[in-house]
Amino acid sequence: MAYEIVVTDAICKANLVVPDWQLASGAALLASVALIVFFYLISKLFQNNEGLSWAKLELYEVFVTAIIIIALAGATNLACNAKASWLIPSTSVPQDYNIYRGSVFYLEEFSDKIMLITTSLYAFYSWMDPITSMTLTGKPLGIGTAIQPTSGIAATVKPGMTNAFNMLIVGYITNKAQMFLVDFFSFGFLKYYLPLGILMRCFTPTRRIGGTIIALALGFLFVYPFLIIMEGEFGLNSLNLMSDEFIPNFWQELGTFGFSSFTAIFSDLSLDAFNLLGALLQSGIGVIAFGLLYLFSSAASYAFLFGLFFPAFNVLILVTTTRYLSKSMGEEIDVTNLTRLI
Amino acid sequence: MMDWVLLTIIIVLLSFSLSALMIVLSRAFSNKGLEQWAKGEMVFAVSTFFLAVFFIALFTEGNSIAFEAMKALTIENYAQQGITITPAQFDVMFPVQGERTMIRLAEVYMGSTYSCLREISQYTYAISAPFFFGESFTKDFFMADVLSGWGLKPITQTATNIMNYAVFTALLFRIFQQMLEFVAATALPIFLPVGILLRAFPPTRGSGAYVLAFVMGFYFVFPLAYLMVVNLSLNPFVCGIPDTLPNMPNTCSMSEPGRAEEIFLWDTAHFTEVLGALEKIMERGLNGVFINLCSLPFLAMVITMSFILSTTNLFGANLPEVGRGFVKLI
Repeated sequence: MAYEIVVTDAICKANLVVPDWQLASGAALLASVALIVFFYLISKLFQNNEGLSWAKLELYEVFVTAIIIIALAGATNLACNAKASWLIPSTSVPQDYNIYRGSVFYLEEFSDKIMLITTSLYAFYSWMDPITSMTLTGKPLGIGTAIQPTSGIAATVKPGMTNAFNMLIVGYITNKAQMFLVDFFSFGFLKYYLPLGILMRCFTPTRRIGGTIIALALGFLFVYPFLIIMEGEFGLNSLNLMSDEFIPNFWQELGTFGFSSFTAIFSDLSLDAFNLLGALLQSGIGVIAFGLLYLFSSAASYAFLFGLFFPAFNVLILVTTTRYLSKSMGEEIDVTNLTRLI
Repeated sequence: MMDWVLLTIIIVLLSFSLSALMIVLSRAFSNKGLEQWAKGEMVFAVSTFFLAVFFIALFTEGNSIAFEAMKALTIENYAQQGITITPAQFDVMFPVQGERTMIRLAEVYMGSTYSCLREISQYTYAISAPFFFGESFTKDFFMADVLSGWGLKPITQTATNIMNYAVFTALLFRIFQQMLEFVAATALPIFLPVGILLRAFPPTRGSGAYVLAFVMGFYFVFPLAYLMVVNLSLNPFVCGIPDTLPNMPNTCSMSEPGRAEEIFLWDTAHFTEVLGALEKIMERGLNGVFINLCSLPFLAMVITMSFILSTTNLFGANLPEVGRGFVKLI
């Protein structure tokens, strides 16, 4: 079942042309103007030129805030209604999905693929491990031999598979975390943080922090989903999840082995059990193990790219954009502190 | 005309038009401050124009020139080691299939190195299998181990280490390869126009500069830096794995009396030979692959990130900490 984000129903209603926060912001702006006018009149009464200049400057700021509110009202309505297909017409996202649902669609698709591969890896490993680690012991009366006839088939392959499994899981977790992040910021920033930022930008003492919050909201609401959609579109579709491009003769090698001897092992399991090694090698398990190691490594590198590299890249672009936006909105964010998070 | 060039030209023209409109408006309303600001924006629009021209030249003609330079450098590098390759042989060794760009050449070079990695893994896997069997071999005589394969541990451990390195290097190769593919697919049609668009407006100028520096860094500088360090290492990559495998023991019909002991004896007899072969693999093959697919790409990455860091400032942003944070992540 597809992951449904809250924002679609909670905020992005088609008939919600003027949401409550926009009205509240207008009221806050009017309150701010009233206060500044009051201070202006007081300054005029007492012939305080400094106070008059301050009030004029603040009125200018209120005017700028009003422009920001109008721009944001349009932008947030656009954010709700902007379809992912507007950004990339050939996208595989359903046409009616907005940019948040679109970005979650890609993240979910990637998570599903990763989980499928992880499950396959686990299934293969749990099947391969007992076969390749079984010990055959024959010690009647305390005299005899013990061997692991199949250990050579997978001993060198298993550590690589374990590492690939770890990488896939890390990629999956990071990806899921991004899904929840998109769900959180698309709802939280549209409903709470952005109105709060606008409200704070209306009044002098909180103007700077308000501008910073608005910049953060714009970064999260517009830049981050765009990056995810773009990476999803060009990454998920153009790259091979489990590429056999660089193991060209894998399938050819596999084709040279017959599976009849492998099935015969279980149908004819008798005292001839020591023949296992030869039979298993004949059945192509060695080729499968070796080939799958490379296929899973390929998938693990894919998980690294989408689970670690791109999120880091997105954060960099987000931080950069937010920093410059916050500068334009009133206060520059200290990027030094933010990059410590990376 | 390529789509990305057309898109870039449209954005530059838009930037010009907006600045000109602001100047007209400022003069119409006699607003000196606005006129000053608009003139400043016009200067940025002019610089964006020159940047766009520079990028178009770099990503078309510059790529071809750099490709030829790298080709000549590679041929020269091989010649210094006594291996003569002609330009025609170069095209066979590194089949870029008409796509004469730095990014494609780097990808193909990495791919050729990777094929050696696979041969190393296959060889190690095949040669070590009888030794893992031998290592597990024990003979009991009334609860006393009179014979065990513990002495074969050096080979099995070395084989495991080689395979771990090989898989790790394969993983890194795939990361770099996929990264290059992503950059090749998105840098020019998406990131470059977006970067120029963002750079055109004051609030997003910093991020635009960063995106542009990123495009130039990863599309051109990273593959160029990689191929440069590869060729300047004066050690062209030659896959040095042993040509022959020792005759492997017959592992079938192990229920036959003495067959398991035969394999164990084969292991013991070939111990020195196989250990020597594995050492040769590490010395002549794995080292080269590891350097080419792991160490040198990271060196190229450091060069690229340093380039992005300094170029971002040149393009109009000031982000000393972001690049450092990214390098820290790497």
